[in-house]
Amino acid sequence: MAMAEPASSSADVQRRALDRFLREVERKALRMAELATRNREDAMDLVQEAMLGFVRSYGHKPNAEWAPLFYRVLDSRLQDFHRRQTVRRRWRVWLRPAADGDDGPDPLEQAPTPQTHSPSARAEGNEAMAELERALTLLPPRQRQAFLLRTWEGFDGAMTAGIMGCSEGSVKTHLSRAMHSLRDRLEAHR
Amino acid sequence: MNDYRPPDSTAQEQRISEMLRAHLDESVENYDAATLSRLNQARQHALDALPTTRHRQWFWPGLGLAAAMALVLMLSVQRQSLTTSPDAVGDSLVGTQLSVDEIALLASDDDLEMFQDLEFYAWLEQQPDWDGSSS
Repeated sequence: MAMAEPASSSADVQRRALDRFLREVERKALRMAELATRNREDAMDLVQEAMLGFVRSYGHKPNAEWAPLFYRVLDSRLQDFHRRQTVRRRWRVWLRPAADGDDGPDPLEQAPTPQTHSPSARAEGNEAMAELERALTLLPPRQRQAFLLRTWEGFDGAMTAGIMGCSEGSVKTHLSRAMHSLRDRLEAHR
Repeated sequence: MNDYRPPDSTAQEQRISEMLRAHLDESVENYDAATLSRLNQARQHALDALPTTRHRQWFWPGLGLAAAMALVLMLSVQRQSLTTSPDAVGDSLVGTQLSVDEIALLASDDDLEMFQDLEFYAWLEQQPDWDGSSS
């Protein structure tokens, strides 16, 4: 029995380290998923899937590499979500072409931003902030993801490109367009 | 693409970034208890799936692959026993090769994402400056 102790202890240490890491990133991951899905339940499911996929595939990798690998898995889940949404929309249009019309508004665009979590934004009636958050949810998925990974998570361009599975040039383009849209939205609000 | 920007655009973009960053940071601090509890459950569920050893992580996909290959071998032998034509044996081997590739993919469905990410992981390992301090 004494022989099994080191392995068990090592597994415990790894579990605790992973627990700490996931605790650090889970809220931001949920928020990121909420901005993408505009639905708390869908977002929670995606984060859970991302945690599971990350632990199974990359839990044994060095701790310093966990953050980009976790966001890589989450980004992959978010892309899958958007692909499924696109296919579902196509099917809905195909199944009910005459009744609803092809050019109806995108239900996602009509959906309200799920929740404004910030008490200060609510209390002070910070409309500009609410408008910016809404603009963030309305960005195309890749633009929003580039903005969040670069600006909020603080990954550099190369790492963001690695996480998103695209070139660094594409990240710059996504980011530039995202900033442009956000700026326009803020100016239009004034 | 029009690259023109007003002179103060960079400052304005920086301000927008800072505003959103502060807002998002604040928002994640205000999740309710029920949400935090669900996150905790999700985390514990994920941690329960942690392979205890590297051997165990490859056990089930490996077992699936071995079973698939045994099935292909069995079908291949059975098919060869039904025919004596050299051409037919050749066809059988081609068919076997394709099946092994396809079945290997199906047998390890859970690890497809890992295979897709191998390129990213190889690239990540070559980043000497990365210290994982982004979040």
